[in-house]
Amino acid sequence: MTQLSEIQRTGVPAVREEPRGPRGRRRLAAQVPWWFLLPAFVIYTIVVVIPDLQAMVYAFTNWDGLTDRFDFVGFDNFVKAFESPYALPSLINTLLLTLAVTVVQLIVGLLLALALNTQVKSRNVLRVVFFAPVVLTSVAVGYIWKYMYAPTGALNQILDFLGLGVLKHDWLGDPSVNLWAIAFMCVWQSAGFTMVIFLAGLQGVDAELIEAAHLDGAGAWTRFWYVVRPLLAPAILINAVLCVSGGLKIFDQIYITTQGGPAHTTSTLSTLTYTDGFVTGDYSFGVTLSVVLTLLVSVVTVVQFRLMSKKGA
Amino acid sequence: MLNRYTWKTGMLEAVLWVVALLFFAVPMYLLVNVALKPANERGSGFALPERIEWKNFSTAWVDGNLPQAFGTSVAISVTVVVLVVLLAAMAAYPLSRITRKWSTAAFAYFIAGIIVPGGLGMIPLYLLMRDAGLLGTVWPLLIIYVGGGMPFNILLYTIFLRALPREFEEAARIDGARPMRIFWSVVFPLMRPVTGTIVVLQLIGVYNDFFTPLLYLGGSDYTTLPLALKDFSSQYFTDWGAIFAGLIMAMIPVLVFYLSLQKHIIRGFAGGLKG
Repeated sequence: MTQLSEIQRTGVPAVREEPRGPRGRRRLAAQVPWWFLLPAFVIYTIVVVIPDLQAMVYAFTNWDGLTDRFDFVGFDNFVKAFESPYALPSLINTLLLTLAVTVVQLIVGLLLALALNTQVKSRNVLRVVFFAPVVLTSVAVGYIWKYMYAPTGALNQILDFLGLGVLKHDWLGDPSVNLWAIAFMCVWQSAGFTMVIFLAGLQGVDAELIEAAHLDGAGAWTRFWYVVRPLLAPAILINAVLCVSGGLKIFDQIYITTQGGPAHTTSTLSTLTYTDGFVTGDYSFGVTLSVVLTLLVSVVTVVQFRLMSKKGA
Repeated sequence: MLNRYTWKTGMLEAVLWVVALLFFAVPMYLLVNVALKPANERGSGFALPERIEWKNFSTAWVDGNLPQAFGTSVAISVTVVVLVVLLAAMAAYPLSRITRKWSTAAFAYFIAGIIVPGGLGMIPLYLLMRDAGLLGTVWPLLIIYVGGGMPFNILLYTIFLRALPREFEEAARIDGARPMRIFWSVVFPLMRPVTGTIVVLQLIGVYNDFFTPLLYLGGSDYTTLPLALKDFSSQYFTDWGAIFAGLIMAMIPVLVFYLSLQKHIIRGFAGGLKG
């Protein structure tokens, strides 16, 4: 009972490397009720594991969502899905939207974080302002921007006021700009989140290192690229993974503003799964598309981790 | 020397405020301004209303079914938060303390749910709920939020518990406390920092979620705030005044929550990620 006397002596239990050998640990472990994990196990299995497995199986069968009978048909569903005139354009839109959101959001988030990591006096207030859209529902964000983007809406009025009338567009209707308009709206909503992750990463960058580089005559860009950026690599990876996996799944903002229209020009895999798979009751089509989307997210995430760990080495 | 406030820092500060103004103040100004305008007053959203029209708010409140939406949203969010905290904390306790093979395997089983994106099982899950006769009720929402919340929140709790010294539990055990009592009186209170993070993330996440209510409550008597807001566009095709009044009312609770707890909320979002 050395442990007990130690507690009595100091009043606080000392933190030890190895608690009293394996037997002591086993004794405590035996006292931990294993069945505590049962409720979580049951609900998680029903809601996540079984439906995910079903989706993966159904994508390779001729199952119709109404009966329990099905045969395996290989990749027929995937071939059929991409014979639909909208599947390929939607896939391309998904990739373009994700690329735009990721690149712009990383740059905007990083610039905001670097600017707020200085001696700026109101940095705390500004941080709260830039983060605010993150806590809003994307339905509200969708409506606000639908209003801003309307042909006679606020954005075009601002452009007129600035004498930039030539830049006016029907931002959500014109196929040459509507996907980018949606990307911008998504960045507006989430840039604050990226900023906060970068700010947390910047906390770990030793100010003395930057100071030393400054004394050695390194300019602002050199200091950022050779000192800050390598130290920020973990934050960049986390943000990139979050932007990509979030970007591939964007649904709410598109649903509220354009519902994928006009003529499917803003439709993505998620909106197509809902409008052409779910609403019309073509469950097989929907399941196939959601498997494609899942593969896409997984592959891109794995590639990102690979690329990053290679660079780090 | 880089840490001094110079004229350059002042310039940066000014630029940041201009960006913040364009970024947030302009949309917010339009939101409030349009919500206060009578429907017959056309023209620019920037022009101040000639007379203030509060009727937009009552229209949105009554016709938009907002009282019911508020009640449902708050009830669902609170129930889900309580259940998620309870179930995830309980599951993390044996997962972090028992080192047998089955425990490690169970942990991997839960974590797999983080890697597979949600949405994959969406349609089979919907059909399961349909066959169980639960469409149009709040049950699917509760079940899906709680089940879907397990992987990530169990991960957060388990990481925290693994780093937490066992001496507190040992001491309680030596004092004769039973396992249940040890969990509730010793372990659970010690996990408060993680519980805070989870409460923030879950509360905001569930309150704002649009897709799940769209699937399960669409066209039913029940509605949540995001779903009620979505239905505005079919009810008042171009009545932006009522739509924006509704948006303001739906945004106020979450903005008040955010502004009063901003530090904890921002830290919660950042902290939830380190897991």
